[in-house]
Order: sequence, then structure tokens, then C-alpha cells
Amino acid sequence: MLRVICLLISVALLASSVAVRAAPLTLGEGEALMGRFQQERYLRGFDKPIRSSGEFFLLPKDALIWQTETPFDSRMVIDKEGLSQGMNGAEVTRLGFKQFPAFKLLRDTLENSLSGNWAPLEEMAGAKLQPSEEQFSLRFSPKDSGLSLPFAYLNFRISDFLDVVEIVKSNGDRDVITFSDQRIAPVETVTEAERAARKNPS
Amino acid sequence: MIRTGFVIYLLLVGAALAVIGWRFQDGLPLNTNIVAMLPQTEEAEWVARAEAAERTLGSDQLIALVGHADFEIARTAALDLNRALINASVLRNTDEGAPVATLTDLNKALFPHRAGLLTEGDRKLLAAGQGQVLMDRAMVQILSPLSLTDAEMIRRDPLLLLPNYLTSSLKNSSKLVNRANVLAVEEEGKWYVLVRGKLVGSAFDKGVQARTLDVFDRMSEKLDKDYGDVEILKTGAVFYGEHAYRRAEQEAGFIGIISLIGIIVLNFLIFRSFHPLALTLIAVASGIAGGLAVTLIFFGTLQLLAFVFGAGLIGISVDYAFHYFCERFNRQTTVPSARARAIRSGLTLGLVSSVLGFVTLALTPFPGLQQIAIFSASGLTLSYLTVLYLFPYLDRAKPFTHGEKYLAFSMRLHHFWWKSENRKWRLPIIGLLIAAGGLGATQIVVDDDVRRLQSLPPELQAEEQAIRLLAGIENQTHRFFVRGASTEEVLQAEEALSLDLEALRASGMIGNYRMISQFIPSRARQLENKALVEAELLPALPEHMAALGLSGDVPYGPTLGVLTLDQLTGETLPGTFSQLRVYTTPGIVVHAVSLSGVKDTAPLAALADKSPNVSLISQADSLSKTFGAYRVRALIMLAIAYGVVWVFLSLRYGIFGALKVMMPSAGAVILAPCLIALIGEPFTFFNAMSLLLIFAIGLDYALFNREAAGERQRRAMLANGLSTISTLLAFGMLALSETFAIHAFGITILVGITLAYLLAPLASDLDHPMTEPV
Repeated sequence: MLRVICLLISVALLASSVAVRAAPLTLGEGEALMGRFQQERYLRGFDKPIRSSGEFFLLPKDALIWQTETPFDSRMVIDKEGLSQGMNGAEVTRLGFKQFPAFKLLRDTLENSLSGNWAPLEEMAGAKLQPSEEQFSLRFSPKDSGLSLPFAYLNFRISDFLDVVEIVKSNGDRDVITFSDQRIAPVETVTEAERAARKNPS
Repeated sequence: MIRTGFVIYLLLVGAALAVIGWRFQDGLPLNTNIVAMLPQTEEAEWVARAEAAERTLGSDQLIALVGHADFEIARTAALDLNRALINASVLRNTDEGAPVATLTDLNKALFPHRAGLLTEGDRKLLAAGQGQVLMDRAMVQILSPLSLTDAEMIRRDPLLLLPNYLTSSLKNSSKLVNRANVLAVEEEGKWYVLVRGKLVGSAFDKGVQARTLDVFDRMSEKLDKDYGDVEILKTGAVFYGEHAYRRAEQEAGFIGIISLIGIIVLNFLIFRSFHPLALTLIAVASGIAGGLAVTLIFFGTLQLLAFVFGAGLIGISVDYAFHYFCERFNRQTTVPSARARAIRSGLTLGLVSSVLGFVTLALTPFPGLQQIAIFSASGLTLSYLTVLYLFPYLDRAKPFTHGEKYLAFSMRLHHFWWKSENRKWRLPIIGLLIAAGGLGATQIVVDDDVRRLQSLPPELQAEEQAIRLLAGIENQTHRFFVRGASTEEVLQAEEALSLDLEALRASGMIGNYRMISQFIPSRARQLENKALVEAELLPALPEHMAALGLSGDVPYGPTLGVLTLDQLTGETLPGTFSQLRVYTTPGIVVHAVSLSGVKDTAPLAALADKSPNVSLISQADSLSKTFGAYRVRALIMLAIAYGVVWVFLSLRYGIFGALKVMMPSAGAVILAPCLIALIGEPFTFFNAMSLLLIFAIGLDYALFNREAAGERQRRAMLANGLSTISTLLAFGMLALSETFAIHAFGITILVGITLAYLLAPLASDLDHPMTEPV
């Protein structure tokens, strides 16, 4: 009997050590996501990566907000119309998706991946999420659409949430964005937290 | 007397034909530019040239958007349409595979000069010593995960001066993006691909118009069949031109045929011969030849509107012919010269009155009115000579033996005014006319706005608007023309103007403005910019580069010269800016500054007044202003013409007698605009111009009534009646036109000439019949 119990425990432990999650978490209706990010920008020929970090807030179908804290405070809002960057309360960049439609694809990809909506990305990439250890991965290289894309391909690493995305450019430049402390909350809560972060940038 | 007149006529016609033949050697010297009708000044001349050049630039463009939910299908269908337009010789053949100019191309062209290219905002920051803001901005943009920058760009332009300059300069320039080597835009799940090209010929060439329409009709059907649910939106002067031409052709065909048939039937019915009709045509043709020759001698070219109105006024010569041929109802004499003599006094007085009126008009500084006056006065004089001195030679016919009933019928109107038994009807009718006129006077609405006068087809306007919205093309209603001796001078003038325009934009007076110097600054401005960059940014650049992890030399070294407009030729200069390059000739360069969302033109006009090299242009406003000025001027000169004619007629009829003779014509001229106002017709330039015709024809009717006595009264009344019917058939029928200008002309003539005819017998003086003038 004892041997049976030990065997069962061993099997359970073995199984747990190689277990793959059934699927990453997906945001439900009325839910939003917030957390922290760290970005490393590797530019070909540069001495070191350019690092930045801060908080992010995803309000699905509305906006993705990037509140950078280091090296200095700045804010980026990507909504349906385009991208806006601000510094000290003043807008310094505005890019419309009508003018740069390829960016819309990147925006949609980021929103889908952060909110766990992988099906459209799998369809566009023509590949499925690949399980590996406790994570999934996906290499996202969209089919040619005639648009001049701002990246060659994306590498995703996913657990419950998107953990890392690597944006690889055709010239060899790459951005590695690592997400942490992700938390699902009602849209109102995330909106409130985003407002607070805007008022009190650390 | 007749022989001398005949010789003079032959000499004049010969001279006129010689002048016309000589001037027509290089083609028809017809000027269709309505701006040229304005008084000539030095400023107006360069503005008129610029407007003409701009119209040529714009009118040969054809734009279409081919829409489909699937981008690839929209693209293929657009390429099919483009190929069909080239194959049908509608669009010029350009290399279909040639790459569309992209942001990368612009980057390449502008990159060497990036230190001299700063946005207005960046200039202000640097001038205020806030270079750090620009460095922080560059860092924020470099850090963005959705960044336009790459290692190469950052290494060569770590301050991102050029990307920011390009983004700012091209903001709102167009929503169209380069995708798979075509320009396209996505809207509500549908992709629209641009087809754009230059026409092989003029947009107003009927052949080009027909081919264009044929290709669009054919391809619309084919693409729908091949790909399903393909939407084609199109715009261009060629479509508006084709529509206007088609409508004018239909109207002219319909109205012209009815008029012609009416006049032929009338002639044949009354004179029972085609001989009078043929001679009448000779009188009209002689008049037009004379008018054309004299105008060409004086002015060199003939303006289209002057030709149209002038030819209409020469149409009065038809009336002279009617009076001549009605004399054939006089069975007392068989001698043609006696017929001419019988009408000579009336004809001479009519001619002199009309010519005096036209000469008064010629004294205005408006070239258009001067041309109409000279054309009409000289043409009418030659027609007069034709009737009095050529007709007797060509007319060998015996008196008519028929026509008693027409003569008797014609006198009914005369009897109405002069027989005592009709007195009870006369006063109420006069009272009614005055009351209607008074009521109409309160209803008159003056309208010179060319936008309301233009009857552009709504379906074409809707397509144009849809293209504007999709492609993000602003509706630029107003513009400045800026002139200088060189491109550099013009660019500097634009930069000076932009300071005021920026203030107007900030105050909401204008929505936006666009000028070439926003993209290619003047040489002086670029050198200033470079100096600012060197002073405010370069000292802190090593620190910025270190933060980026970028080592090496400072990348903003000295560059070769500055960027010039000529370096960006053809496709490289974005369309929004290339369209602003109006013309460049040695010594004169003109650029346009486009304005949108204009709330009030007064501050813009004030800006234009500050410099003789800046002129505010609104095609619609400028035409409206021209029409308004002409309307007022025509009315003033009409009043003066009546004064001059009064003095002239007083010599023969006395002061009060002359007033009485002028009364029917003046009554018709005053009442016609009032009566048409009752049916909601506005009073425009075209109505005012038609009053000139009513003035001249109305005077003729009255003069023939006054000059004719006894038996001749009947023939004069018949001739007046025939002349009225033919005028109404030729001009009054134009009231049926859907083209506003033609309709306005027609409706005024219809009412005015009818009134002039009805009132003309009032000029008679049965107690004091006239004899031949001394």
C-alpha cells in the first residue's frame, strides 16, 4: 500500500514538473490589465542597450498606455486613431494609423497578446502557440500584406500572461519588453490606477 | 446716295473680313478668362496669369478611387482601370511599375540638410534656449516600442530632427498611404486605391471627355463583373466639363431648333418667301463681321462673354430687316430704294440711340463692357448699312399682294392704346402693371454669388466630396498668391506671411494653411536654423549620445549648401506642395498659399493689402465680385445712356417728346426685374446685361411707332410684332435653360421685350406726325 502511495506521489510530482498550462489567461468582458514593463532596446552597433521601465495599462478596445518612469517620465497612449507621446504634459509626437497603417498591426498585436487573445495572432502567423516547459511561445511573422511593417518578426513568451515580447527589426535591431506584476481588474479600477500614475509619476 | 452707301458698305465689309482673316491666322483669338474682364492693373495682371496657370495645372488632372473590401482586389481593379485609361488615350502613359514616392525617398533627399530643417515649434524652443526639450523628445521617441527609428537613423540623426520635421510638415497632407506600390486608404473596412493621372488633352476637349466617360462606363461594368462589388469614385474638370457641355448641347439643340423653326415659319408665314430670310442673315453676318473686326483692332482678342452678349445685341439688326421687308406690304411703290427711304428715319434714330448708349458703356474702365459696347456699336452700324444700302440692290421683288389681315391684326395693340372705346381697360391695366411692379420691387433679391449661380451636378459634387473625405484633401476655398523675383524671395515672403497666418489660426479665423516654405524653408531660414542647432544642441550632444550608448563623431557636420526647391523635382515633392508651385518664369515666381476653414475673409484681405506681392484669391469670391461690379456698372451706365439718348432725341422731339418716346423702353427696363422678382428670380449680372438689350430694342419699337404715321403705322406695328416674336423665340426661349446664367438672360428678355412691345405704341403722337429728319 505504501509503495502504491509512493508511486502515486512520484507520478504526481513527475507530472507536475512537466505540466503545461492548458491555456494563457484571457481578459473577460469589462476587464482590463495593468502591470510593469521593462524594455531593452538593442540597436545594432551601439555600445549598450537603451533601457526604460515603468507601468502599463491595457484598456481593451480603447487604449494601451505606457507610463515610462526611467530614465525619465513620459507617457505614450496608443488608441484606435494612433500613437501619442507626451512629456511634462505636452505632446511631443503624434502618429496617425491612417498615415502609418503598419503601426496599427503592431498595436493590434500588442493588445491581443497582452489580453490573451491569441487566436487571431495564430491565424495571422499561420502557427499555433508552442508549449515549452511552463510557458508557451509563438513566433509571429505575418504574411505579406504589401504594408511596410516596422518589424521583421515578433517572439512571444507566455505564461498566464504575456511575459516577454521580442520585436526584431529587419536590420537586426531588436526590442525586448519584459512584463511583470500583471493584474486583471475591472476597467474602472485600471482606469483609476492609470489616472493616479499620470498624476503622480514616480 | 444709295450708291455711295453701297460702296461704303462694300469697303467696310471687305476691310472687316481682311482684319478677321489676318487675326485668325493663329487661331481664334477668344479669351475665356473671366478675370481678364476686370479692369487691368499691374497687380491684376500677374494675379490673372497665376490664376490661369493654376487652372491649367488643376484642370488636366483626373482622380479616381477604386474601392473593395479586399485590398488586393481593389489594387488589381485600380491597375486595370489605369491601364484602360492609358490604352484609350485618356491619361498620359506613365510607367505603371515605377515606384510610388515614399517617405524613404523624401528622407534620402532631405537628410543631408536636416540641420537646416526645423519645425516652427522647434525653432521657437531653440531660440528660447530650450534645446534640452528637443533632446528629451528624441529620447522618448527612441524608447517607444512603436518607433519609426532604427539604429542607422539614430546614429546619423540622434536628435531625430528630420523625422520630426517630416511628420510635422506632412501632417494632414493626405490620408493615402503607400501599400504594395499604390496609394491607398482604408475606411470602414474598405480599401480605396488611388488612380491619378494627367489627361492627354484638354479637359474641355470633347474627344477627351467622350473617351473618359466611355472608359469609366465600360470599366465600371467590367470590374463589377470580374471582381464583384467594386466601387469607383471619380472627379476632375473633365467630368464637370463633359456634364456642362452635354447639358449645353442638349439645351442648345432643343431651344435652338425650336427657335430656328419658329423664325423660319414666321418669315415664311408673313412674307411667303425665303428671300427675306436670306437677306436678314446677310445683315446679321455683316454685323458680326464688323463687330468682330473692330473689337480685334481695339483689343487684340475677344472675350467670350463680350462675343455672346455682343452677338445678341447685333441680333437687333433682324428687326431692321423686318422693317425693310414690311415696307413691301406698301403697294404704292415698287422701287426698293423707296422702301429703304421709308424706314430710314426710324432706323437712323434707332441706330444712333443704340450706338450712343453703347458708346456710354464703352467709357467704363471695364474691358468686358468696353468690348460689348464696341462690338455692338460697330456691328449694328454695319447691319444698318446692309439694310439701307445693300438690300435695295439685292431686293428686286414686287410688293406683297397679301398680308392685309396681318397688318390689321398688328394695329389692334395700337388701337388699344389710342382708341377712345378702350379707355376703360387702359387705366386698370396700367394700374395693375404699376402695382405688380411696385410689389415686385420689394421682392428683388440681388445675388452675385457665383456659387449659387453655378448649377454643378450634385452627383459629381458628392463624388468629389467623398474623395476629399477619403483621401483627406482639405477643401481649400481661399488662397494667397505670393509673388517674387526669385524662389528665395517668395519663400521668404511666405515665411513672413506665416507669422500672421499662425496668429489667425490660433484665433480660429482660419482652420489651416499650407505653403511650400513649410516644407522647403528659404535659404536664409535654413542658415538661421543651422546656426540655432549649432549653438543650442551640439554642445550637449555628446552627453545625449552617451545616454544612448552611441559613440563616435558628432553626426551633424557641415553640409554642402542648403536644400532648394529645384532639388525636389517631379514625384519627390509631395503633391500637396507641388500644387502650390504656380509658375516660375525668369524674373517672376508665384507660389500659392492654400487656406482652409476660413471663417472671415476680412483679416485675410487686410494681410494681402499689406504687400503688393501678396494677393488674396478665392475663385468663387473673385468671380462673384466681378459679376457684382459689372452688374452695378451696367446699371449705372444704362441710366447714363438713357440720359445721353434723351439729349439726342430732344433735338428731334423736344424735351417732353423725347421722354415720351423713351418711356416704353424705360418702363420695360424698370418693370422687367420687378416682375420676375415676383416669381422668385434673383437679380444678377446676367439680368442687368439683358436690360441693355431691352433698352436698345425697346427704343427701336418706340421710335418706329413715333416715326410712322398714317398707313405706314400699320407696317411699323407689324414689323415690331415680328421683331418681338423673333426676339422671344431667339432669346426668350433661353428662359427654359437649366444653366442659371442663360436662364436669367432669357427670362428677363422674355418679360422685358414683351413689355417693350406692349408699351411701344404709347410713343406715338397721332396729332404731330413726324417727317424725315433733317
